[in-house]
Order: sequence, then structure tokens, then C-alpha cells
Amino acid sequence: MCALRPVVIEQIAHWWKESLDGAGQAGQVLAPADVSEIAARFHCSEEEAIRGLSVGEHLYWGGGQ
Amino acid sequence: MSAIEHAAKATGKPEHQPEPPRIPLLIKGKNESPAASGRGSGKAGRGFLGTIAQLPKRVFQTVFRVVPYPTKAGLIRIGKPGRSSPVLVTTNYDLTVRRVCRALKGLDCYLLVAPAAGIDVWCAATGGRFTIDSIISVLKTTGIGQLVDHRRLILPQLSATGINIFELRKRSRWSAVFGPVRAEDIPEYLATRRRPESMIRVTFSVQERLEMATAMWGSLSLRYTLFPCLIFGWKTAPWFVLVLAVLSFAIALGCFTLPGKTFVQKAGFLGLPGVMCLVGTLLFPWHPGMFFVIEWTVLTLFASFLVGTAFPSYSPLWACGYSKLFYGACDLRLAVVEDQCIGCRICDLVCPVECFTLTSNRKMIFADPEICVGCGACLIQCPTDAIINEVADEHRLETAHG
Repeated sequence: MCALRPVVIEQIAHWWKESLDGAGQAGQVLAPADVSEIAARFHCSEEEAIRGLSVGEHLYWGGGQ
Repeated sequence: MSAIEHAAKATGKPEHQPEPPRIPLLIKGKNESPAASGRGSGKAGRGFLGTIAQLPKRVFQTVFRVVPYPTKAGLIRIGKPGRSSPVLVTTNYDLTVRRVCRALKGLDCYLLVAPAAGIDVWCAATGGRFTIDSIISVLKTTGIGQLVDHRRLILPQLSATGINIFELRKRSRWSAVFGPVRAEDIPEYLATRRRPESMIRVTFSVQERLEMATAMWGSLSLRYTLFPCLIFGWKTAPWFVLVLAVLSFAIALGCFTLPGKTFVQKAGFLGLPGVMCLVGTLLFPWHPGMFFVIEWTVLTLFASFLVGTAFPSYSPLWACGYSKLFYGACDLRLAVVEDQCIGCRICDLVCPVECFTLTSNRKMIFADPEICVGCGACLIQCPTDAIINEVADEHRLETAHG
């Protein structure tokens, strides 16, 4: 497995969290993200994309107070 | 097409609502309330006779809680869930399923009951019985993907010790987030999407400690009474069961006041009378009551050892090994690699005891190693592998240097 780049994971996480926020405010339900599409968009591996998306979900859904 | 563009098309309720597919493992009927199927709040369709009929089972599950009690794995509809309703996951431990259903009363959601050998979430996840395979199995067999538009699971937080959410996503294409520790907090969590400290940390009330003591007493009595009986005869049985009860409740209620760092040490303190009896026996071997003293010595020491080692096994301490169990020396000594930390706080959000702190430069630090229970949830869930176990690193170095 190639080395994970924290910066990329963080970028994807915040992007996905903002997407979820935006969709939530508009009363929409986001379709499941396509990992390969996001990997291509952020020029990263699918592993990094998966981790970034998962963190984004957590920031949106599993956050602390 | 980007995810956002794609999302804009797939928003809201679809115009055409397809008929729900047949679900092979639907535990309850369509739109049936939890109570009606004998789960959940247990009000409708049962009444007084139903409650009486359930009594032996409930007594059994209280006294012998550590004995696995599996219920059927599958899907439970709570209320009238729709295509955007949340999908929660739990293990197929009967008591857990009943309590979760009761907590979810009044909500519209799906509950996936994953096969986990009939063990509760924390123990099953830590012991390798509640795994990604369990979740994938129940996702496929229930066909839940055909019932909802989203692909998000809400897992119990205590499953973080065994279920890596990144691997789950990779293998199942379902994303997962961790919900609250306690089922009673799920409605508030679903309404606010926020988990305050009270939903994340594991604490035990006096009532829960008493329940735990009862469960421990029951299971230890069931499993070990035979051994002293084989040595001293059947008349010893009630005395052994009594000693187990006294020790179990004493440790459950006095865990913060008894001397000792670990439960084994605390139980050892309570077993001191047995040691004194042993010393007395050695000093006065000709005493007429010697056999009686030996009997009580063995009973007390055996019972205190059992209670001391069994109490932490309700938590994932066994995963840490004997040094943690007996001396409190944790096999995990965690550290956060600052350069790799992105400050996402997942480690803190899965930690049952608040070991981590966020610094002013938005990096996590392992601030309180003394209270770490060594469950390893943070190690597993860190998205950037920024958390390392220094004990493992030292071990690797020792091995490398020969």
C-alpha cells in the first residue's frame, strides 16, 4: 500500500463534509460518492479517497459537540 | 459527473417509489411495530401473561448475562421507514436487540441485526465475533440496499474496536459512522447529528454495577462450582456460591475504594482472609479444625481469583493481555505522530474513556495514558495512521536487533 497523504485525506474530508452540509441545508440526499471519481478529482489513490470520504462522513454525522 | 452534480439528481424522494423487494431475513412484518413481534417495548399483544411468560428469559439474561444468547440475524423495521431512513446496526445478542428496539420506539428506521454469536457489541467486536464479514453478510442477506437510497450505516461506537470503517467501505461500498455508546441516546443523536461527551464515554451507574455483579455471580457459579465440590464434596456448593456473591457485589460496589490498581489486585485484597487462613493452617497444622480452615482458604482464594480475573473480561481488557489484567501495565502505549495527524478527532470520538485532547494547533495528543483501557479503537480508526503503538515498535526493534 502506498503511503497515505494526510493533506489529501483532510482536503477530501472537508470537501465531502461541506457537500453533505450543503445538501442537508437544501433538503437533499446525496448519492453515494463514487470513489474512483473522487480519486481522479483529487489526484489521489482510492485508499486515500475512501479514508477522506469516511472522515467527511464522520465530521458530518459522528461529530462531537 | 461529480458527486455533487450526481447528488443533485438523486435528491429527495424519487418520483417513482418501487415496491419494496421481498426480504428473506425480515424479522418483523412490514411496518410492524417492534412490540408486536415480541421485541422492543413489549407493550402490545402481550399484556400481563406475556410479561409473565418473558420473566424466566429475563431472569436468565440478567443472572447469566455472559452466556451468549443469540437471536435471529436480519432486518427489523422500526416504525414506517422510508428510502432515506437511517440504517442502524447491532449484534444478535437478544438483550441488546430488545434494548435497542425499545430505545428506537417512535422512530422510523431500519435496524440490521448482524450475526455475532449472540454476544454484545463491545465484547463481540473486540473478540472478533462482530466483524466486517458479519455486516456484509447481513447487508447482502437482507437486501437493505434495495430499500434505501443512501449507503450509510450507523454503527454502535463500541464496535470501533473491531470494525475498520475504511475496510468496510472498501468491501461493501457502504460508509459507516459511529453512533452513541448507549441505545437510549440514539433518538437524540439522529435528531441532532451530535454526540456530546455523555454519548461517547463509557460509565457505569450503581444499578449497572449491580447488574454486572449479578451477572458475574451467576456465570461464575454456573461454570466453577463443580471444582470445589469435586475436592470437598457437594455440601461445599452453597458456601462457594455465597462467597462468589459476596466478592462480586463487594468489588462491583467498592471498585473505587478498594485498594489496588486492577480488579485482580482488588479481589486479592478481598481474598486476604483466605491467605491468613492459609498461614494459620501452616502454623497450626495439628489444629482440629484444620480441614475446615483449608476448605475455606481454598474457597476464598479460588473465588477471589475468579472474580478478579472475570470482572475486567466484561471490557476489552483481555485484548491487552495478562500484564494489563494483573498489574495494570498496558500493552498499548500510544503516541500521535504530529505530522500525520489532521485533527479529525475520530480517535477521540471512538475513545470510551477520553484519552485524547485536541491542541491549539488542531493536532491530537494522547494526553491521559493512565486511563487508557487499551481497546485499540483509535489505532484501528485513525484515517492517516497517525497513532502508533510504541510498545509494538520497541518489540519490533528488539526482535530486529536479535
